[in-house]
Amino acid sequence: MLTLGISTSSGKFAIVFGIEKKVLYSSDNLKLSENKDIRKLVETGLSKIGKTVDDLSSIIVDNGPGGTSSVRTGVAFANSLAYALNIGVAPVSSLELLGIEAFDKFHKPVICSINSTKGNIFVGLFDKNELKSAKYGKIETILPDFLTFSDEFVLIGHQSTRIMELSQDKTYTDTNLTFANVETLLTKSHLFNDKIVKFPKYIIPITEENYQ
Amino acid sequence: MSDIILGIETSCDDTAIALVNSNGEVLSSVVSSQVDIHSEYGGIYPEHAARAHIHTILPTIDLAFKKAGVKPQNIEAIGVTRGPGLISSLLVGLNTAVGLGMGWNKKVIGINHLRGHLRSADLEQQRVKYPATILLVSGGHTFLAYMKDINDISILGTTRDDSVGETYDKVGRMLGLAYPGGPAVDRLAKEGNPNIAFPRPLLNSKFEFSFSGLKSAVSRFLAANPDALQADVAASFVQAVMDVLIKKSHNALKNYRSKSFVIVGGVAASPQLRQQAEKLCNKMKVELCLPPLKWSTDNAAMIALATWDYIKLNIHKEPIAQLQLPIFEF
Repeated sequence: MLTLGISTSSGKFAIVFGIEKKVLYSSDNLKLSENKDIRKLVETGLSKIGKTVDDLSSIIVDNGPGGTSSVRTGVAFANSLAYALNIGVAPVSSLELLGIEAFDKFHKPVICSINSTKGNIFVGLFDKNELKSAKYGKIETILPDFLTFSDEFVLIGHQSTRIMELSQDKTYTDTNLTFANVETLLTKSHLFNDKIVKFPKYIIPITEENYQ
Repeated sequence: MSDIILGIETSCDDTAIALVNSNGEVLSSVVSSQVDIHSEYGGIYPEHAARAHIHTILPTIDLAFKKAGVKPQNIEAIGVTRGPGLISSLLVGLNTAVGLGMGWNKKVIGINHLRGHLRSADLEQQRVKYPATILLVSGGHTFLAYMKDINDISILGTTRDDSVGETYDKVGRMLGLAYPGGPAVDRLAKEGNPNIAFPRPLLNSKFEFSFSGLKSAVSRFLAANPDALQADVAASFVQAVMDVLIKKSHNALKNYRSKSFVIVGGVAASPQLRQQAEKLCNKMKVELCLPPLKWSTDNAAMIALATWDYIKLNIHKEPIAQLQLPIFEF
């Protein structure tokens, strides 16, 4: 029951292999891997754990939002590998990944943010293993709605400082993180099981057109 | 060794997949067109092109295998366009190919898109007699090349700015015609008289092309003459383009002994170009080689056929995107 996790949304390509929530190998994107060759990452990982691609039983892929070309690269690879092996693939939003990581540490509602083009931001409100809301636009416009949810928030992502500046009457815990650990795809894989699809269904990257 | 290559082409706005054997026989060729997506912009919108590729690529691959009645286990390798092209579109095809290659345990070779175009004339049957002069006229490229044989290619001249296909599309947009502009401009041109003196850029340069000045001249003319007959504008523009293409082709055939004159690329569909090229070839006593139109525009069968050349010459190129790629490079 070997699972491959792929995260490319931050622009730092990372993969993780594991069996049921146990991580067997991680390319560790927190150590700022600049490797943009997914094939090499996967081949290296398989070799380290003494497995082959035929041992894979599922893939979990971060489908953004994030760097548009980076996300497409990871998703295109995940889709085609799953198709070739006739196995399932599950999408996980990068906002959800950020939310899971921050909530796990602080157990408070999380505001996650990812920069987009033209000054627009993807913003997510995460609480208790669930992305409650995801919005796209100017942070000043989105924030007031989210802030009604609680008086205390954990912040993760590109806009944490800006959020604290914009609304100083709330209490914040800043994670100082802008992207999630790829291992979260494996350690929390039970949260994504119901999202697994098989061809003719496949994964589409999250963009400003389909962020909700 | 198996006898089938899977070709993948996503360098621009068409998702194209094909299965081709070593004789150039096309077992299946499926093209998912994005014309409807880009028509409102009057040209290719790169981000939308890449998004469409990721929607269509797996269903198109699946359909190509079903149409050919071939199992993935039976292919020899995967040939995928690595450039030149739009980076965001190339990445979808390349990473899809890499995933498939890993899952099926097949070699993945990065193919030069331009080599695909040069080989497209030999799909389904051997048409080109070497040595040959090739005119590639498409939305992305315009050049004249000389091929002593399949593996010995020299570039004679290329465009310094816009491609001829792009110029057609822009003029089509100026005339309010539907995208893609090429066929619409050619159709309108047939109803008009070429009575406007548009420039023939670089006419006296032997093999080099330039079309941006012609495009600007049409724009300036339309701004100054809003009541001009559109059919006359189209006819005059097309005549200017043809004069340039035919003059340069004549220069090439005069200077480089050729058995065939091959025209490939989307603009090869132009009836005016076909007619004038025929006259030129009759005069120069060279065989005119025009592949079927389906092989003239971007397709994956040409990529698969080019892949066979790489395999036969034992050339392996990594499936890594290259925005710029010269024609002589494998």
